[in-house]
Amino acid sequence: MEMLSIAGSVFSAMQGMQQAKSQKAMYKLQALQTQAESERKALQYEQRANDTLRNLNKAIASNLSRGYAGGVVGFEGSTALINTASGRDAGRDFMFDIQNAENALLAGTTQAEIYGIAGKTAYTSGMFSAAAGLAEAGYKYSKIGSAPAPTSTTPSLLIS
Amino acid sequence: MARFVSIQTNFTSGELDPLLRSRVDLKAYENSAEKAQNVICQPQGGVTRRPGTKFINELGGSPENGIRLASFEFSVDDSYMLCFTTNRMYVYKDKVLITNINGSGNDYLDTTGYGLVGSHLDHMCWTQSADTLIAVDEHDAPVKIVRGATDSSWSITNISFASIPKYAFTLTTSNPAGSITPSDVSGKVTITATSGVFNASHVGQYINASPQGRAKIVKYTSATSVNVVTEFPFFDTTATTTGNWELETGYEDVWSNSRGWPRTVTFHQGRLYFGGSQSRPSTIWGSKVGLFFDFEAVEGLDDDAVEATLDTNTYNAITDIISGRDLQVFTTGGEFYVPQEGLTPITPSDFFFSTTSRIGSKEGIRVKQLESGVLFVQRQGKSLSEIAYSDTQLTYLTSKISLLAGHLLKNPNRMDLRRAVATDENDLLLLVNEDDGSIAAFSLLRSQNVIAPSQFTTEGNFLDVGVDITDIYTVTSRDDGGTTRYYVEVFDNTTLTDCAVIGTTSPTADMSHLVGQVVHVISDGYVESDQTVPAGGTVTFTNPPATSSEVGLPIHVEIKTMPIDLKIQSGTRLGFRKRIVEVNALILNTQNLVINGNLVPIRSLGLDVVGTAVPEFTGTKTLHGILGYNSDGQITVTQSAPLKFTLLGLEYKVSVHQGT
Repeated sequence: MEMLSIAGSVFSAMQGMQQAKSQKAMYKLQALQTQAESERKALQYEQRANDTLRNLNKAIASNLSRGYAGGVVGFEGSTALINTASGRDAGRDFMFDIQNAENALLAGTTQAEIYGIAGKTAYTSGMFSAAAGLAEAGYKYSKIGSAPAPTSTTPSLLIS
Repeated sequence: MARFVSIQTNFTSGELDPLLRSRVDLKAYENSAEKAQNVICQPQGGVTRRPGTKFINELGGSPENGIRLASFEFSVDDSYMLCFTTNRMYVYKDKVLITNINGSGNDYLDTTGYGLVGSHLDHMCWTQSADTLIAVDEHDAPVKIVRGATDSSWSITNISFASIPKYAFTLTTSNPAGSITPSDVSGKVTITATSGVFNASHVGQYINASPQGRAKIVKYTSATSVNVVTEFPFFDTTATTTGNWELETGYEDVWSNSRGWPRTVTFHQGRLYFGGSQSRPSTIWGSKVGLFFDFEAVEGLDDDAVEATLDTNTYNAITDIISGRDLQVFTTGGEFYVPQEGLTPITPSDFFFSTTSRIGSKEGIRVKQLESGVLFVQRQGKSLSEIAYSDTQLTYLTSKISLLAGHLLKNPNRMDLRRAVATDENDLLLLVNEDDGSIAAFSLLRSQNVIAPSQFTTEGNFLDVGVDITDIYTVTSRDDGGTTRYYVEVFDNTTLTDCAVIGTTSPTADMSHLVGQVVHVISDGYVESDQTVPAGGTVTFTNPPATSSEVGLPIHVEIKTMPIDLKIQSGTRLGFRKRIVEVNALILNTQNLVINGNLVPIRSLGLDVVGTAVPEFTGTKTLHGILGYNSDGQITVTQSAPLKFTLLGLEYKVSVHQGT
């Protein structure tokens, strides 16, 4: 009967070790997924920034053409002012998008690191827990056939 | 020889260009005259003697170098004619000179220091809002003339602009040694340089950075620090090294003493517009809406200042801008307008132009608005055109008003319009001809397509003309004892002579402004013998007036019909020998009439009529027994005395060879 209990403890410890490995792998995957997501967002922002510049070019070209079609010099006066204002607005939007792309990358990296740490922690605690189970099983095995030891409380090493 | 009777029922085509002498096929031929001198064509068809002019005052301020009349309407009851000469502004109201301006003892406002001098006045342009008249010319800073609390209270100041548009007449870029670092990528940014590259004159100039960034310097702090406002953000806040940034300089006030000042001006839809300047003749600037002296364009919002430079395949120096149905721009190369749909306002994003016509207009002659359209003189002064909007074609159409009377335009340099105020009047467009000092007078009733030109001449030269609601003022140059003097006169319907002095019961008239000139003398309506104004200028009436008197220069009235064209069965008789046998003149309220050199008696002679005024006659006066054959068969109607005269039509009997 005691042998069965010892075998169960060993099996449980082995299972805990396997779980710790799995959790670490899962966190690693989540980190990679987060990194990939942030890079995708960053790319979207960069694409939008590029679109902003492309649209600015179109707007300037259109405004310039309208100006000359309207019998005025397109590079001066109100036509130029509208182009400047368009450039100012587009420049601001462009910079926002570039900043957002950087922020998205940074946020992704940070989240991935958090997942990495969480994976490491889960792995370490799982291993500790398994080691404790094995130690307990070894102890029980050493006590088979000997007088019962006096009862005492053993502090748990398991991390809840 | 057969005899035919014909009639000229009206003169609604006025004086016809000699180039049209053979155009008997034109309807206008029947309604015109070969000569219409010192008469006005009436809408009903007759011609009446033009008003004489009353002498008001002699101009000082070197008028020989330049003068300009400008009307100013302060309120319904208070309207003025302003006359500018070098450093002086005279003010007239109700045909009278306003004296003691601002209590100075002067009869003029001293405008010394404001640039309204000499030939600058020839190109002066002005506009008005409430109590303020804004006057511009390209040589001088714009001025504001304000009418104060009374007729004699006037002030003049230079316009203080909140901001003046900038322009780089000479754009320069440089790459100063040293790095610059922006404190932020966009907005209001402080730029710090590693070496002293900035100076105070850089305010208003630009910094361009690579890979990106453009900013306007708005404040100079030190040689290494300036504040800027970005027009395109910097890439980041790291240092931009030498060679990767540049200073773009050359921007300066577009108007200044060195670059010249605006040349035309008008108000339009809440903005003050300037058209052209000495250095930027094709550019139009509009202020911010409601802020007439603020021309700073910042954000391109709808109420922001506007600016545009005309760019077509012609050189377009702006000669006038007016606020009509649209904002209309007149240039030496063509006519343009700013298209607006419905109530859509002009904004910086749609401040564009459409071409109306490619005629080109003359500098110095203000464009005039009729209810039907806008009248302007062609660039070389060779024609008078009208631009009118067609509601059916939804575009502007151009027509040549002077098509049938181009010969009356002899280098015109001034123009004004008196709008009709009575049913027996047409709109009267007056153009002063520089070449001979005459006035081409176009009597217009556009709704009936009436264009009736005539010519005003005087003993001396007309130099300028201006209309104050209904009063027509003119500046003349006349000989006074061998000296040329410059007078302001006003056309007056009750006056029968020019440069006249009107009196009541005084036995003498002070004609010291016309010494040595032969003048007509009228006492209580009776025409006395002509006199030569003696030295000292006092003219004494032979019969001292009991109620009224007038002394002034003669006006030579002449109407000469076109060569008579008889359309008889055997063909035309335009150039064949013929003789006017008899003339029936249909006249209205007329006191004096001469036909083909023959005085037509208006009243019967009797002892009781000697020394009294000739009564006015309305009806038909017949002249018989006219002798002499010629090929033209024309009737010439003149006057031998300064008396009233209106000719409604001429019926005549003509003798001509009928055969083939």
